[in-house]
Amino acid sequence: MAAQSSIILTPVARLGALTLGALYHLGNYSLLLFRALASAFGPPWRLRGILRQMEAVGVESIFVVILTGLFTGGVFTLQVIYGFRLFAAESLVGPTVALAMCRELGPVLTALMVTGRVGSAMAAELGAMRVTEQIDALTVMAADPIKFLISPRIIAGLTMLPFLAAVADFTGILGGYAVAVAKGVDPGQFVGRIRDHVVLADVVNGLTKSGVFGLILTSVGCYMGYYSQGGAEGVGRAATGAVVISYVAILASDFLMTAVMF
Amino acid sequence: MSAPAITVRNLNKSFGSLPVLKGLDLNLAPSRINFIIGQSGGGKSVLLKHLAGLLAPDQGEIWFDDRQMAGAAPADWRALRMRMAFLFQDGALFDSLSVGRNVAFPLWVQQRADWRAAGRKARERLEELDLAGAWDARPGELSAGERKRVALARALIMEPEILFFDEPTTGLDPLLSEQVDGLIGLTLARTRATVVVVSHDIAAALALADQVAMIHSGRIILEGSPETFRRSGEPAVRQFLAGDSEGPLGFLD
Ligand SMILES: Nc1ncnc2c1ncn2[C@@H]1O[C@H](COP(=O)(O)OP(=O)(O)O)[C@@H](O)[C@H]1O
Ligand SMILES: [Mg+2]
Repeated sequence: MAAQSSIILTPVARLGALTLGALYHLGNYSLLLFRALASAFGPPWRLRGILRQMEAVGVESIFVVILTGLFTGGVFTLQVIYGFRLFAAESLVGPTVALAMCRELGPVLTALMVTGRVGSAMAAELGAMRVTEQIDALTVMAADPIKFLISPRIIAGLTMLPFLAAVADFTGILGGYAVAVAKGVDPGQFVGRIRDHVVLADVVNGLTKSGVFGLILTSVGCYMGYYSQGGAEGVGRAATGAVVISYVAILASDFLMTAVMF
Repeated sequence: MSAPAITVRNLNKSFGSLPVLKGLDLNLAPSRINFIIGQSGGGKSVLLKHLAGLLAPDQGEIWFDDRQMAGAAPADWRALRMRMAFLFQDGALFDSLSVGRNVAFPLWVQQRADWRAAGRKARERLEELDLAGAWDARPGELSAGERKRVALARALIMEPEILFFDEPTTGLDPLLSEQVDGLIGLTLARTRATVVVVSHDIAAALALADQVAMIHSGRIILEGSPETFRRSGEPAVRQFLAGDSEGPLGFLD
């Protein structure tokens, strides 16, 4: 009897457990995010810690982001030129590339690159601190681990991702320009038409999105590491889990924000 | 404020389906050295983490004098932790800080002392443990024994009223063990703290302790003076004292 009913019940029970688990994590994550942001604004100020994280998230990612921008802008331009030549719209290649970079490709690709570099590293770092009881040690010293470990990382993500996205926007347009000129597009027209068609809001909205992405990728990385369980294996799971969850959350929130903003 | 007595009532804790503490009762004497002994995997570290509020019990009470702390608000725990220090089994040193900053950290964070003032005191503590030379090293560059002594220096820098030591001498050679044991005695003389030492070193327990409690199968099976233990007829206690591999404890490591 029990075996029979379980064939039907198990999938349902599984689904129920999965939903409950997801809800639990969502609630727990929100709480952590709230506490991290709230505790950041009060003494003792963690200026040095924040600067170090800004360096790790921002400065150390610049090179990857430049490469990402150059190649993305370049390949996107190749494709656009091909398409636009079909109906003699070559003069619009510049603004098309610029709009795509600023509104979409710069912010999103930067966030995905930085997730791979930094989000997973944060999960691994905090996971290792959990396993080696460094987080417990902070707690018994009456030092709030969320304030010490998580707030600086989230603030760094929030502030540095727009900066990195701006770098990607710029180098993307630069890469596009180089490809377009090599393919015979008029340089003056490329730049001039960008001036005509791209407005400040396009850039600002894109950078706003990237701030949200920075918040997501750092807070998800921290959450996964902070609550990791099960020794070294658990640390590995936290790091890969942080990347997958951040990717999905970044792409989903990108869709939502874009639908609202533009 | 003086060092508190710590009393545990009916403490229960399971991890998933694994029960670790099963209705544990324990009395820890104020301003004394209390040893908790028992086999590895017997739940000693889990018990100690409950006393520091790092784990929440499924059921039970933890009293510090007349304050019940199980399930207490985070702010109450924080206040209590200002009087507390904890030596973790594997040190739990901060990998991202130098040895000097590790030791100075509690002073810096709890008293908002500047690094220079905190550092002076940290250096004294490290010198007591012959570790002044490791000042600029990173924890990762030290041997296991050195890490343990740095962690000890960090635990002692605040001169707390409540001291939890999780296996302070495990992994140290006999000479260093003796030095650390001596330091625990010295600390008590200086601070009159309530000291709780978790250990499976029965000899050290009988030599140093004012009070000993033995944990077995998730409960305290005997508590009393070292003399009580030497005289006890309890089979599990006898086996642990003798280090026999046969008996109610099963195989000893
Ligand atoms: N956070 C945890 N999650 C799951 N099991 C745990 C956890 N902490 C300890 N345990 C288990 O509880 C038991 C007692 O562990 P512990 O208190 O570390 O023993 P010891 O007496 O050697 O210090 C062990 O079986 C251990 O695997
Ligand atoms: Mg232990």
